[in-house]
Formats: sequence, structure tokens, C-alpha cells
Amino acid sequence: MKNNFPRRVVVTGLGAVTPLGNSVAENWKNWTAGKSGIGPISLFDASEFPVRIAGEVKNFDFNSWKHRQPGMASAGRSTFFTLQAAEEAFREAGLKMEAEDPERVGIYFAAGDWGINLEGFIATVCSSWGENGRVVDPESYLVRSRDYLEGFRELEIQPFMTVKHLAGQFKIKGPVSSCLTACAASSQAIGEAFEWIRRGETDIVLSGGAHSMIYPFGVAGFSQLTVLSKRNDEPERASRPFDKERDGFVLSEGAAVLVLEELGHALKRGAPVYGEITGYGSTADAYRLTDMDPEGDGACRAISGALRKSGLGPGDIDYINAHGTATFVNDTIETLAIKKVFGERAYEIPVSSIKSMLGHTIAAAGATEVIACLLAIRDGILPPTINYEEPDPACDLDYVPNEARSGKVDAALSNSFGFGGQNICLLVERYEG
Amino acid sequence: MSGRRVVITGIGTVSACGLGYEPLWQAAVKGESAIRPLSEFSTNGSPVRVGGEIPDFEAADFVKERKSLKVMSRDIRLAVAASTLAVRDAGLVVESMDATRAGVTLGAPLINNELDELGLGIRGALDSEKRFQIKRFGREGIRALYPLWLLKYLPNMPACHISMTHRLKGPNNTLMTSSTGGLQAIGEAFRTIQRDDADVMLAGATDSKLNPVGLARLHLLGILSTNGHEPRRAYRPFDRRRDGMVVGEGAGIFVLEEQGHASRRGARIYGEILGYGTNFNREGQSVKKALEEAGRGADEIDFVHAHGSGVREEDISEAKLIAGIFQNSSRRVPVTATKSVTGHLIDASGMTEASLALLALDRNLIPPVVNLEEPDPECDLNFVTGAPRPVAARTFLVHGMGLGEQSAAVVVGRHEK
Repeated sequence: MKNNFPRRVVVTGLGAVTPLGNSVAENWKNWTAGKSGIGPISLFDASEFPVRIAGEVKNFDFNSWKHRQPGMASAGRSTFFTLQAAEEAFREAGLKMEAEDPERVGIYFAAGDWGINLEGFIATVCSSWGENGRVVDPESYLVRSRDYLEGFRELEIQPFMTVKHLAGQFKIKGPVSSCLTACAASSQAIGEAFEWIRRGETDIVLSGGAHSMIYPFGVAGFSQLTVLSKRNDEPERASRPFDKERDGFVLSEGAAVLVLEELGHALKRGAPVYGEITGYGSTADAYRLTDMDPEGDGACRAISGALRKSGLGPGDIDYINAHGTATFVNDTIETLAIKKVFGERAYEIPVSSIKSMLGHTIAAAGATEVIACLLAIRDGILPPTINYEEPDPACDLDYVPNEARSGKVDAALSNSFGFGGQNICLLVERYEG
Repeated sequence: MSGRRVVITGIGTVSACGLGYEPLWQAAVKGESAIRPLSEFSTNGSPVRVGGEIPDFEAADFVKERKSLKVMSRDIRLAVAASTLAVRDAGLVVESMDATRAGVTLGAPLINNELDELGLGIRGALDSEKRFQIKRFGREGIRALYPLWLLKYLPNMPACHISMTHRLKGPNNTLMTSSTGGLQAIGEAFRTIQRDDADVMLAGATDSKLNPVGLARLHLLGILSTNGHEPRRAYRPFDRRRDGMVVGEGAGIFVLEEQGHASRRGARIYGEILGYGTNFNREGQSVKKALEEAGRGADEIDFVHAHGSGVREEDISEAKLIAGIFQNSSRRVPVTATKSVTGHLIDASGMTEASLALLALDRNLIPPVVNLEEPDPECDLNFVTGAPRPVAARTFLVHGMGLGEQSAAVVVGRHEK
């Protein structure tokens, strides 16, 4: 059954900007060294917030991008991360747009939204306090916003602006789409990009995701949902997927970009091939907003769907990159789902969560994890789950605790689950010609 | 490549014209714009005073669990209502089919925060001199916020609420591609069924920007009409005297179904999706790709539903795009655009248009471009103006445009076995 589709899809370029580095090489070095990218929040004064830690991108040169792209002065952080990661992916793929038909190059991205101009918003609100039961007077807000807010800055909040800048920067004219399905978004984008190429809509798709929600209302919103770790005094130990003492995820930011390419097109131009994407499963729990189906039904169907599409069986999977957010429920249900699909073999498959090091980059998360799978295949190294100290009886698989491990990987699964019951699973394989 | 054909078996719309597609259709063929003075809040001192507001929308009629309403912003409520209308219209009984083979693809906006909701948090963070203090926000402001507020605004929530309402367990996606979102949702759901990942997909879009935060953002960009004196005549796509767009709110959902699945359950079929294309430039490739997939030449298209945003530059570039593709056809294809009926639904804009075009195919009558009295000479197309135009239509094309150079097109034909 393998490769029953005439057009095969390989990955030929990778790019990443995360709290653990502003290139894929730097990230991979840190991931395999088991480093944490989590620290105290420095982007705003979070000293009195219930959650004061996050994974922030460091030493990023925003100014050089703003200088190169004068029209983007008010773009969001993740837009700049995206451009830099895309530039790296292009370079690594040896891809030159001059040599390509721009109509045959597309984008399927998971662009995250950017926060409001908080200063301007607060100023507008504070000049528009309402009466008679209204907290804020709407009419006054509408009128006064002209004094404090700027149209182009507000437009940059739209996720599609990241994609628009990406297309503009690299002169891409083919199909463009962008999805934002919570924490599963960039895995879904990669899955849909894979389907585009298989179907022949394009030869090359820039995919992946980017997000930055480390701003006051972002941190406030997640912390109120009680999904964030409050281990404020030990930032590097806060993200503890599958550990018994886990207490939530750590908000993080970044971008990860992959160049997906039709195999023949990649071979013809002598591109490096990191691996082949062969499976994609997408399901909904249709259960509850923030809780996963306790039976893991949707997650199981996503994993089975990816296996079915690839033609591989449970015995063929060598490594699973878990969604592994470190929320109590996610890690328990994900473990259950893996056991349901793989049976006894689940105990033989190494499963690790790089969120233990990176934190949760939301819309970028799945794409960083597919990169981890591809590099595990390339180098025969499995990145660890750090901060794994006390086993949880409900999470009893081999989570590659604390230290990277060598191991041959020919086929790997990457799980991503999101609020609202979104389940995505991708299957990547070694490319063997 | 794929032998699986995809038909449309249900339409659900919520717009300024009312609930369901019948009032929408009646307004469109009578040439009646539903643009009215905004009533949710006073706009007397504001330059923007009119919009396609939905009167008397009761979300509780569509939501079984009342407590869910607390986490449903207006965009989510509209989406759930439209999905329920579409499911009813299609006579779809999810319990009697394989729910894992039924999914959702939705175009969604960045949902605007409710002013009072965030206002409470900001008010809680003021010091004795009424200045916002971030420390105080962290300590007290956050606690003044409704604990689940974020869930009202996550972009994938409309699609997830639809999946929960109807127990649809198949593929679920949320697109954020600006004003082409609705058409791209139709296109991507079409692909999902074609490639055998589902048999039934609810595809559509939702949006409501008729709130202070949303209107302020659009107004700051200088693209809104400020003609508040004559609401019903304010929005004038392709007209020489247009002065920008008028915002509306609403949602539209199609039930897309694999042909065999639809005929086995004896569903009524409105039309078949024949082709879809999208691309990022304004040279018409999206339209060409959709036509090519449909296997139809330009002269086989019986009418075009244009994006017609009423923003001058967009109208002109769209008119050139359409003229460029259809200029060599043996006759000048009739073109309509219906945003002046409902207002521009922005992220949901393709959906009411696709719904009206589908009804036009079904009823052999093309609704006119309301308020188009004197076409802009730079928009040289065969517009349907004044009265609706009878047509023996077999195939139509809907075109949409979004931020930057984004463009999408869908070709739909009368269903023939």
C-alpha cells in the first residue's frame, strides 16, 4: 500500500526561531542537550501576574528586518520570526524563487494572531468610561480610538498579515491558505500542504506556523483557564510533561517553517531531502471545549488515520513525538490513546515531548515537533523529555527521560491536539529513494 | 484524479435580511438593501453609523445547553445558528450516519473582544489617579475578568462549537485567510471529500465586526463608507459614487456531500461543486484554475458573482481580472455582486454570496447589484442592474478577494447524474 499516491512529498528545507535558538542547528543542539528555554517573562512587567514565566525568543534582530521591510514597522513579533525561519528554510533547501514558477509555489501556514496595541487600547478605554451599566462607552471608544490607535498597527493583529508578508517577501504567487486550529494548527497546515502537493496543486509549499502570545492579555487569558504552570520560581523545571508533578504548560513563542516539495521536483534540482511525509490524520472530539474526550477517541482516530494513509502499521513506528503539553489531562489521555492504538507495542516505542524544553509555542508547536522527527530520522538521536522525575502511574510509557538517546528512526509520528477537540497526527518517514 | 463528486445539499444563512436563505433571497431579488442604522449602541457622534446588523437574533433558539452561551461570542453564535439551519435544510440526521466521516471547515475572523469584558480588567488595574498599572493588572485586573473569556475569542471555536452541536467527529479546520475565507472553506472542504477523508462537510464562514472594537479598526483603515444619511443606498459596489464599504454581520454554511451519500439518502441537491482555485495575485489564476478543474470554458459560465467590495481600487482590479478572463468569450457574461444587500461580511463574505448565487442557479434568476446606478467607467462589465435578470443557468462562478493579493474562485454547476 505504501506510496499508493503517484506524487510523493518530501521536506527539503527547515527553519526555526524559538526560545532555544534562532536557527534549526542551534535548536537541535539545545534539544538534544536537554536544555530549557523557559525563563522569567521580560517582555512586560509580569511581576504581579499569577504566571510570571514563559519561553521568549532571545537575541532576535527585529531592527534589521524592519530596515529591510519598511512597510512592516508595526508587524507582530511572530511575523518577523516567520520571515527569518523562512529565509533559513529557503537557504537550506537551496531554493531560489527566480528558478521556480511562482504560481507553483504556495503557502499553507498556521499564522497566529498578534496582540492589540495595548497602550493605545488602554488609553482609548480610559478616555471612554461608560455609565448606566456600561463599563466602557462604545460610541466614545469609536470616536476616541482615532486619537490613540493606528489602522496599520491594528491590521497587523490579523493572522493573515504574517502570511501576506511571507508571500510578499518571497514573491510567492501560488495558492495561499492559513489555518488557526489552536495548538494543532501548524501540524494541520503541514498536513494540508502535503495534500496540496499530492493532489498536484503545487510543487512546493512553505508550511509551518508562528505565534507569540506573550503579552498581558495572552498570559492573563491562559492563566485564567488554569492551564499554565505556576512553577514561577523554577522556570527551567516548570514544563514537566508526563511527570507526576506536572501542573500545566508554559506559554512560549516562535516560528517553524518547512519547505514541502514534490519528490521529483526536489530530486531534479538536487535538493537535500530530510524525510518524506506519508500520513496525515485530522479528527474532532466533538466533546468539550477544553477537555479531551476521556477515552481519547479523537486522538486514536487521528493516529490511526495517519497510519492508514501512509500504509504503515503500528509495528513500523520507531518514535513518537508527543503533544505532551504537561497539562494533567492531555498527558494522561495522550498516553491512553497511544496504548489503545499500539497495544503492547506502545511500551517499546520511545515517546518524547520537546515542549519540556521549548514550552508551548501554540500555533508553531506542531511544526517544531515535525522538525524534531525529521532530525531524529537524520541523526538517529531522540530528543528527551526533560524534567521527568517522578513517574505518574497513568503515564507509563518510555518518555526518553531527561537525556537524549540514540536510536534508529525510520518512521515517526507527531501528535498535536488543540482546545476545542482538534486532533492532528502526522507521519514522517526516512526517504530511501 | 478523484472520482468522488461533491454536491451541495443544504444552505444555512444568517444575515441582516434575517434567519435562513429565503429572506436573503427575497431582499436580493427585490433589490432591497438591509443596511440600517446601528442599534446596539449609539453612534451619533461617530462617522460610522450604519451596517448590516441582524435584528432580533436569539442565539438561545439554536443552543441546547444554555450555559454554553456564556462562552459563545456573537461570531460563534451566528456560526452555530447557520450550521443548524444548514443541517435542517439538508435533512441531515447525524445519528444515522458515520459521524467520523463528517467534518467542518470554517472561515473565521479574529473575533473582536467585547469592550466591557476587557474594560473590567483595565478598570481593575487603575491606581488612585485612574492610571493603568500593569502590576495592579496582574494582581487585581486579571481577577476582574470573566475566567473563561479567552474561549470566546479563540478563532477555532466557531468550528468546534459546530462540531460539538452536531457531533461531527471528522476533519475539522479553521481558515483565517481574510475575505476569501468562506470560498476557501468551501474549496478545502470540497477537497476533503474528494480525497475520501470525509463524506459530509459543513463548510462556510462567520463574522461580526459590528462592535466598537471591530468598527474602530476598520474605520481607522479609511475603507468604510461614511454615508450614514441614506443607509439603504450607502453601499454601492462598482458605482461611480461609492465611498467605501459598509460592514455587515452574519454566517453562512453549506452542507457538502459526496454525491453517492447524498443520493442514497434521497437528499435534495442544489448543485455540484465543479472547480476551485486560489492564488496570491490578481492576474486571475484562481479563476482559471477553477474553470480548468470544472472542465468549463469561460463561455460556458452563465453568470459570475463578483466580490464587489465597493472599495475603489478593489473594484477596479477585480473588474479587470474578470474582463481579462471573459473578454474572449462569445457573449459578455452577466456579473452580479450582492454585498450591498447584507453589508460586507468580511471574513464571512464569500458565503452569503455563494448562497445567493446557488439560489440564482436553482431559480434561474440573477439578483441585481443593488445601488449600482452609474457604473464606474473603469469597471466595464455586463452588470445585472435594476431588476433581477432571468437566466437559464447551468454553471456559475463566484470570485472573492482578500488581504494583499489573495484571490479565490469556486465553480458550481447544476447537478447532472
